[in-house]
Amino acid sequence: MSHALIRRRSLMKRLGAAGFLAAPVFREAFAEAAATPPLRLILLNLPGGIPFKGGSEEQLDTFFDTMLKPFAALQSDAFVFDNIQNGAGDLVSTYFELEGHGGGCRSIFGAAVMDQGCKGTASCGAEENAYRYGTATTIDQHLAKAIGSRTQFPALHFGTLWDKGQGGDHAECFFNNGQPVRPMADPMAAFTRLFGNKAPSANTGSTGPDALTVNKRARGKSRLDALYAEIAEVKAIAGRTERAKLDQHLTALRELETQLPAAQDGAPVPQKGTSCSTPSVTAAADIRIVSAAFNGLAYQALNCDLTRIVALQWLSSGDHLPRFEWLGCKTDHHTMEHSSNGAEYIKAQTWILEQMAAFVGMLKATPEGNGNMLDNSIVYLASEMGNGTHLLSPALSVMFGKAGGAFRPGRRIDMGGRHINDVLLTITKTMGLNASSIGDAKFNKGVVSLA
Amino acid sequence: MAPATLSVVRPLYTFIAVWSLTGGCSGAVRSTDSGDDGAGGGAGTSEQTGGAGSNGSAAGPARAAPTMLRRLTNTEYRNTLVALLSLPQSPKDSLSADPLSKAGFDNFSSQLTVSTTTAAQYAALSESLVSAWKAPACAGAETDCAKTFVASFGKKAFRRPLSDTELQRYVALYTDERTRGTHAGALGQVVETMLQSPKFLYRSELGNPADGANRKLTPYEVATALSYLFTGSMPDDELFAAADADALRTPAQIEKQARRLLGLPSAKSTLRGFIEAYAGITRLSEITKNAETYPQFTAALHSAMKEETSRFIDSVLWEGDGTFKSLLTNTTTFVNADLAKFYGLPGAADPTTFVKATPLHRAGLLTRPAVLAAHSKANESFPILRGKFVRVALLCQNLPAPPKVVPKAPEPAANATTRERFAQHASDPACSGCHRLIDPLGFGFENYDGIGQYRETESGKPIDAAGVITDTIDLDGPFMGAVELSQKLASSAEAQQCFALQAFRWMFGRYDADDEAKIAEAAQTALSREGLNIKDLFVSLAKTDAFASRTFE
Repeated sequence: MSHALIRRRSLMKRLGAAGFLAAPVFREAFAEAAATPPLRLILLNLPGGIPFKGGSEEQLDTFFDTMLKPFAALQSDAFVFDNIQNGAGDLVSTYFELEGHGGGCRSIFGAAVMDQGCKGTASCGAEENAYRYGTATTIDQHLAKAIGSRTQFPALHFGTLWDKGQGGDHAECFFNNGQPVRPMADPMAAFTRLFGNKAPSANTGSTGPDALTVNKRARGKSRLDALYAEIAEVKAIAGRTERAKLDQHLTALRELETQLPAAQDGAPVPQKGTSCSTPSVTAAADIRIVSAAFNGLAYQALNCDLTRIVALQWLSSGDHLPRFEWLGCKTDHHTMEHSSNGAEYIKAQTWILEQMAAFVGMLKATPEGNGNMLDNSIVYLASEMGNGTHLLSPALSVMFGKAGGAFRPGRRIDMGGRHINDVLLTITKTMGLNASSIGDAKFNKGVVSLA
Repeated sequence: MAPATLSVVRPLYTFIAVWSLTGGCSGAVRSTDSGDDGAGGGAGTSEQTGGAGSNGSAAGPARAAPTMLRRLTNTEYRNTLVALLSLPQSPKDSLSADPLSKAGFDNFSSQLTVSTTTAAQYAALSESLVSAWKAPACAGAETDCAKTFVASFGKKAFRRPLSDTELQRYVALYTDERTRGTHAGALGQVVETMLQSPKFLYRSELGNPADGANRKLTPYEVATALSYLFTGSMPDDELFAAADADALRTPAQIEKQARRLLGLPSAKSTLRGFIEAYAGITRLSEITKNAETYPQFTAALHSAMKEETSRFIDSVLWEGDGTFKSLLTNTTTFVNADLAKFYGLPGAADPTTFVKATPLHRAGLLTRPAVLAAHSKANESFPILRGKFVRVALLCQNLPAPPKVVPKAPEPAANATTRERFAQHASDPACSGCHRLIDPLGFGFENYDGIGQYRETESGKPIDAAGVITDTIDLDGPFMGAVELSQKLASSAEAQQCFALQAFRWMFGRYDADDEAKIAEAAQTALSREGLNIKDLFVSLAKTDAFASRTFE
């Protein structure tokens, strides 16, 4: 699909839309492109691991009868990756022996540890000085750079109460060139950013922008051009640390530029799903309401083809605030993580997994092409910890979806100690980016056969 | 008057060396940081400083802080918009909360970045503000008016005069937009862009590039640093005039402005913000408690606790002698009806009026209910948090993270006091290494439950609030209850030095274990010299060489 669409755009530029559509062969290519649903990646993250007993479960049913019970209806759409290693996380713990979270969720999404900041001693002062991520880039950002220009938002990140847990450095899962890409935490602000104050328009094809849209784009572009120049000026006199900060700022502005209204024909045409509509969002701080709002926003962002890369994060690694009192849990999440699979930990994790299952279920329930949205997606669920014993490994992660037919799910994959990086590499290549490794190359052996 | 010399420093480093030798906490006790400033190099350790306590290798002038671009905190950003655009009140916005450093500060430069989300929020707010903004009328040629406006508004927005390149850029921006709309609309485009410029969003502490690696802040950067330090907002006209006249060079000139700024109403909330960060209550409004355990912790009581703490801090700083000692020991506070009931006081029947009161068993900041509630769990007092708070925030000692596998904390029980439940920490060798530093301190707060309410019994048994401090320079020994602990801390050079260190970190928006001990030592000396007056401490810090010196790296 993607290649056909790209071919169409470049040809349109050369031939003009009218000439393009007049040629039968191109009409056929266009029809094919429009009919093929887009391939999407959704990353799901929760802190503290997926509760499981470990051992030698070989039957897929075993998982879905116990810790993955919330996903029972999705068993035939799932891969369970068992005995998986998190090399980057282990490295962090090696550099800094008291860092029990392996650097947090960033490690599991491909942020390679670039440097040992404290030169080998465990007495590094702050944890953050013990290891550095240098120019680390996580899988979402690699792919956003590769395919993000096809949609209004290269990637979208939603974080349910992710930034209020006092988890500090652990809270950030996603990085671009060493700088954190922080999730949206406020559903109302996210709604405004994605949908403004109006329902998404029907996909009627490209008819050309009106004068107001042209002016709005010109005004926005003019403003951003001035800001780019301002950043370049400051960067020229700034030190090393500030330059990295400005790079992140620049990246943020460039993403804003992609959100300017299209001013010319030939711009990417969104492939909106038939269920594309404005989600309902309520302002609240309650985890249940925020979670539901982000599920709805993420679902419609994909359904309306505003983006093809989404990350949904629940809480953050090392969250120190009580969140689940309504479930009868009295302790904070991080304390639960230390509870050796205690009852409160199981309750909290199960609830989060249920929210994830609800989201994946929405994709599965939405018809698309010859199947459903989940068939055309890769949903990858991972946590920075193994389970409720506060250990990094052995870890479990889960994937859902057929990746447009590239994957044959409904299986347990025994990773046999291979690193999570191989799963990330498999995803990356399936999404169309020809990478040789993700994260630290030494943790990559190659793609995992999921066909 | 010469600037304070930053050249000494023993006690803090001596302490580190001593503590490391004791090996008390699995040999993993590190330097004094509680920091989060990932920007720096490896933090100093006792090993790396070579046993500085004995051979003096840490002596010598402190290396200046690195050049920085400090993104405005949300509070500073809102205050600046109010001043710049003459807004009647702080704008309503949906800015994502600033990340908190582990030291509890929300102004650490390394954590304040502009992400896509933040940039989008700035863009949306700028657009909204400009849509309601009234452009100045133009009596002459529009282009001349635009040039004048760009220069004057730009100087305020960027907190320095614009360069020729910048003037040309913004006039060109105006001209371009004027082709599509009105004169006022084109000026709005200038304002909207400036409000999203890095030169507005970041406080520049880059100095003059022509000076090479060792830089001094420019007069405008000094004006900006002073203004945000004391008022949390952009420089006022008088500071701009001082910068224009290059009259912010000497300690006397700095002190004159600092003391003037301290007289402005905005200084109150700014210094209160520091004290709240020091006390770990910056996010007080986010505290939640178990309604079953603490049904009395209503929204009204929660709100009253916040208000009480603000009034208490203000009272110490602005009505009393303003000293560190008073902050930790003053017995006068403020109560409304909800708090009077909470304290068991007669009188105050009005929920909206706060009156002075002197509740029993309370003295100073540490015994304010809000502080106690913030350092507790949702359903219990949890002495671990309180002991850690004293060690880390009040004594600037660092504790290692918990081990990878931590036994489940004992749940509250009907037949045991909290102290009894945590007795295992002392008896289990796997726990006692670190918890001997934490629990005996935290037990001293046991007269206060998880919402800070005074109690003399728990589970039908009398409370034992006897505590012990160890591994300190000048505090070691027993104490009985938080009031006595507060008094000991108030007189402790180590606690005073830590307070000065925290002030230093907050002022610079960074921590740097390599240098800060030296600067904090000088600051603590100043604190002592100034009769431990907190406002004077900040003035002294502003007068140091360090305030306006930077190293480019």
